[in-house]
Amino acid sequence: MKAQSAGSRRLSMLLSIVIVFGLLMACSKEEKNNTGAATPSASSANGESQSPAQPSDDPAGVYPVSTTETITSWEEVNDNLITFYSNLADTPFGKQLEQETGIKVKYTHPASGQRKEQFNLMIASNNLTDTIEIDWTVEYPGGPEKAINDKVIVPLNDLIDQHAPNLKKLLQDNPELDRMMKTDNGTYYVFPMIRPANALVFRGPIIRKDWLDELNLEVPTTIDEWYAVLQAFKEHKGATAPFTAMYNNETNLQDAFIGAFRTANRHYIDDNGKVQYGPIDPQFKDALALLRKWYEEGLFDKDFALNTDTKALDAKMLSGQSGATVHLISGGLGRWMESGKKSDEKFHLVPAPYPTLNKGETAFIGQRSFEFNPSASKGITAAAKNPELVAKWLDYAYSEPGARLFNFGVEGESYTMADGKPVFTDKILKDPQYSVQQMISQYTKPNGPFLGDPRKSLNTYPEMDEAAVVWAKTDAAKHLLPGFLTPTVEESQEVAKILTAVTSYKEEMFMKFVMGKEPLDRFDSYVEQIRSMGIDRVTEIYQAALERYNNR
Amino acid sequence: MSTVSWSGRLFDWFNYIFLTFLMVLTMYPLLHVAFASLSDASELMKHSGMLWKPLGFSVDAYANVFRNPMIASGYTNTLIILVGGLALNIVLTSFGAYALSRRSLRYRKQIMLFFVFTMFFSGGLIPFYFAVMNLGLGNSLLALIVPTAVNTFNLIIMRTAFDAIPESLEESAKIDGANDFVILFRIILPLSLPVVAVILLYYGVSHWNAWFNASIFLQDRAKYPLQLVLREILLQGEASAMAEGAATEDVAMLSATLKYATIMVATVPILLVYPLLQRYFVKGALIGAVKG
Amino acid sequence: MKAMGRVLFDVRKNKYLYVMLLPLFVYYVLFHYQPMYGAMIAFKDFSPRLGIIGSPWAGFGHFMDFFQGAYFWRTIRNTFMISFYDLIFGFPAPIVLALLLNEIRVQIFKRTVQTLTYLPHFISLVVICGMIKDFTSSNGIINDIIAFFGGERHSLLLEPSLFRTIYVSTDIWQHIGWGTIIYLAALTGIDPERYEAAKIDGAGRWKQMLHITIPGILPTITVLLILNLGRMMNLGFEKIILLYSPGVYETADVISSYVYRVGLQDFNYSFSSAVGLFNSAIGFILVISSNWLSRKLNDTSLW
Repeated sequence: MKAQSAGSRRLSMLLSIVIVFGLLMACSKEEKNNTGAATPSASSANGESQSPAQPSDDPAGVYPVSTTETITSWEEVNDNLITFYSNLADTPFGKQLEQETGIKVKYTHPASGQRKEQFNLMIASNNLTDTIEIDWTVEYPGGPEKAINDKVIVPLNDLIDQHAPNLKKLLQDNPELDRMMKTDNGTYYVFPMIRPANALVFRGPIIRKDWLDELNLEVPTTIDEWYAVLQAFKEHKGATAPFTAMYNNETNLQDAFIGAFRTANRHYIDDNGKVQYGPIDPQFKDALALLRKWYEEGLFDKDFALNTDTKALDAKMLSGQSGATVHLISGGLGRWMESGKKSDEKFHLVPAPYPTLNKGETAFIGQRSFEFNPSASKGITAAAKNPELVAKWLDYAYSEPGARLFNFGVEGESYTMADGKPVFTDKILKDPQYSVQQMISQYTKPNGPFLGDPRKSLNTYPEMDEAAVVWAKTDAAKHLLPGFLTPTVEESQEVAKILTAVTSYKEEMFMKFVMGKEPLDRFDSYVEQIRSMGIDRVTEIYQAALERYNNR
Repeated sequence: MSTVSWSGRLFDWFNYIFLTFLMVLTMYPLLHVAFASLSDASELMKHSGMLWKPLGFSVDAYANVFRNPMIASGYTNTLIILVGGLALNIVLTSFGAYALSRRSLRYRKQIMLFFVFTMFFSGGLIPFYFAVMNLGLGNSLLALIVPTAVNTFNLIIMRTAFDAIPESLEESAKIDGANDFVILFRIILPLSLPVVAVILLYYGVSHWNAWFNASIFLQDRAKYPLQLVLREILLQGEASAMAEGAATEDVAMLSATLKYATIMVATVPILLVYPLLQRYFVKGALIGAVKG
Repeated sequence: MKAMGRVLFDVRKNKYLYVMLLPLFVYYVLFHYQPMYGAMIAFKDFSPRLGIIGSPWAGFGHFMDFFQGAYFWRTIRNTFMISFYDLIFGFPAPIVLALLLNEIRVQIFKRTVQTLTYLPHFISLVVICGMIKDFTSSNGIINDIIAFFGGERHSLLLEPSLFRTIYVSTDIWQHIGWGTIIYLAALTGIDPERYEAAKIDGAGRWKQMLHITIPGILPTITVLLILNLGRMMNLGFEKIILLYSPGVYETADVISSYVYRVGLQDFNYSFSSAVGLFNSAIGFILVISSNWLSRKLNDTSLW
């Protein structure tokens, strides 16, 4: 008995020694990794005087740059490209870029879908490339300010001022864009992806025009018109789910229908510039009542909560179960027209405007993306030995020839100029084996830090162009919460906790109200419950962040 | 002399019927996937509900998958990982299972606890990553073989099986002067072929399906195992389907059938393995030994 | 000192065994124990840049966040209930199937059933859940059957009371064939002579199964049961996320799916680590207790 326990004690002592040893080993390994960081950041902090690289004797904005250095870049590679090349440097785009800028680049790409893990591992192991393309506001805990303070990326103000004239001019000409890209204290942290103005709206209500024509109905613009249309779809076209929608953690309406009541299914900015939480607005009750009525009368898809992917919508829209929904221009409208016309020539989809309560009103809110796309923007890291060179390389994408390369590719191969406008060649548009996206991914960079060109369009149907226009006629710009608010680290964690709980409750109740499982007079206690869960604190945090944003 | 009672017969009938029903039920998912993979993409998009045959007929999805230059290297790499991995797995697992099943080992319980503890507590991704990288295994297929050399669950299963083998065999072998290695390889393993087959299957399927470690340790796409290649193809199809502001074309629709073709390519090879292993599930492996 | 002596004595006595164990020790230390310092991450405010060691301490902060969450009790309850049902119904299912297969005399039928029933295990969960959604939707086949018998059609996955049933029964559907493999292997280890002897003694098939077959595979059953108990709290989120919707949160929202949603808002390695550590601790306690119980009851145990 005593021997046994002594033996076990011995073994557990051994175990603890092993663990301690392991810890020590780990400490030393990790520290080695972290002290490695000190040197490069020191040199870049000291500016040009320390860098062993050639001083930039080329004036800014002149290409190709004469240099023998190579820079390194970490970025996701477009999924479509993988069929042809595994590295951007081997593509026609990469080669052309090298030729035009004069700068050789060594790319590292994470495996598809593994961006988050590989980014975190890269930071943890301190093997930073010169530049990293990622959304610093979302993927780096603490946001861009923290990333700068942690010496992962460097502030870009001076670099842009002195070595990126193209971007500098763009920012001077567009104060809104300028504000989006800075941190609250005015620091630039990335070279941005700038979407063209006509590519900001790409989601909205889509409806079967052929059905409307058959039933002698106009495209609905008000709630009442929608009601009549959906009823007609149900009675005369046999639609079992006249209106359907996707569900991804919330009903994907992009606040169509809800917005008609001047509220939203999330935080928004009201007409007085104050942040509000839509689901507790009194008018939200009316929006719920509407959806509830439609659900009850069989006008709203009874299984909408299960439509978690496009596939569900595909089947419903193409088989005639549904006549209207809210979805994307290309992923929805375009795809469905393509497929639908194969079996039914009359199949015709058109975009419908975001509906309002009364005729002639402008929709309160809708979908609108921002010109600045943080996820395809690049920061310059502290490991860059020649940040000026990197800045020059990045700035090329905002110059006229550079932007043309990023948007359209190689002249003569992927596009030609016709009447001064770039037009894609048949090589891209009509390849027998591969799709347009696959061909284009070899010659251009679909997502990345460059100036998007409004002339770039791969729309195959005029309705798709129409959709961007029709859906843009909302006041979304005034009422959507800007995407680049930066709460502090602690605030973010607080928000995450409260908002997850609130959203869970809110969505549960949303379902119950709409599906008729809970009477609407319980709305007030629902509001109280949400308040007691701390939503006002979140609204407060957002309000403060909004004010800081407006003052950038 | 066997008793043929009517209740026994009734039971047999029910058994056959029930098992046939179960077979049909469990066969359906694979059939659905197979049919979907051979369907025309447009037709599939419209369809909801069960599939009893391909809709339209098209091998486009398969063409799309096999067109990918990485498929060949994917299969090759996975094969290498399988062979190397399984060899290491079987050797180490049987060593461990054998040692832990010997009653003469005084600290059996503690050592087992030492192993089992790791099934519950781990340090997470980042320290694991460092552990592997610091051993110089980065960007090599070894990173997919060595860190997964032993699976504690499998170890336990094998040990339980070794426990069941009567000690008399070990004793008589020891009297003949055999050491532990000889006993393990000449006596215990041959008597445990069914369990060895099962463990090979478990480790094999695990290697076959693995993609995550490959995604974080391998830089060269040429070294990607099959599942990772297929995953990238699949994501490509999905990215196209949800494209914003970019045009659509057939690939966007192909994504519907692409998913199924990918699953078939990933799964069919391994499905063919089990029937081959079934012959090891033969009763009475022990009889010869005891009698002899 | 005495203890040291005993260890060395054992090593000398069983030297080949220790030689065999050596590579395993090395493996476990290198890849499991050395990285275990990472578990600290649950007690820190982790920042990848600072590393695990360098990140500031948060003490039990993340655990408190978890315990004080609005839906803590609900998610614990749901996790436990679903796992429990899975255990009660899902655990015996492969055993029953193995026993049924054992009674089949026609080899080719037996092999065919074995091969075909394990197929769904390999089909990806996304596809399986897509099928489940299809079958249980208001136009799906199950509702067709319900309507045939005069019932009302409704989407089954939207009923909180049905979620557990759907989850567990589809788990059985997908994994029963795969689960039988280990039992079939264990069945081959039973000496056929015992059956002969029993038949001579006049025991019918039922008695044979009760007194020979089941006890023959009992060690395997016990070990697997203990291990499964240890996994109860680790109910994976993938299948839940693919099947649930807010209308059924009351029975479907489990720990992992809730933590997943928190992660969507603001991904925090430390928070998810803390939750994971909590789950592991519970699982480990369950394993220790069931192992002790099992040792007392039938002398088979993990250690």
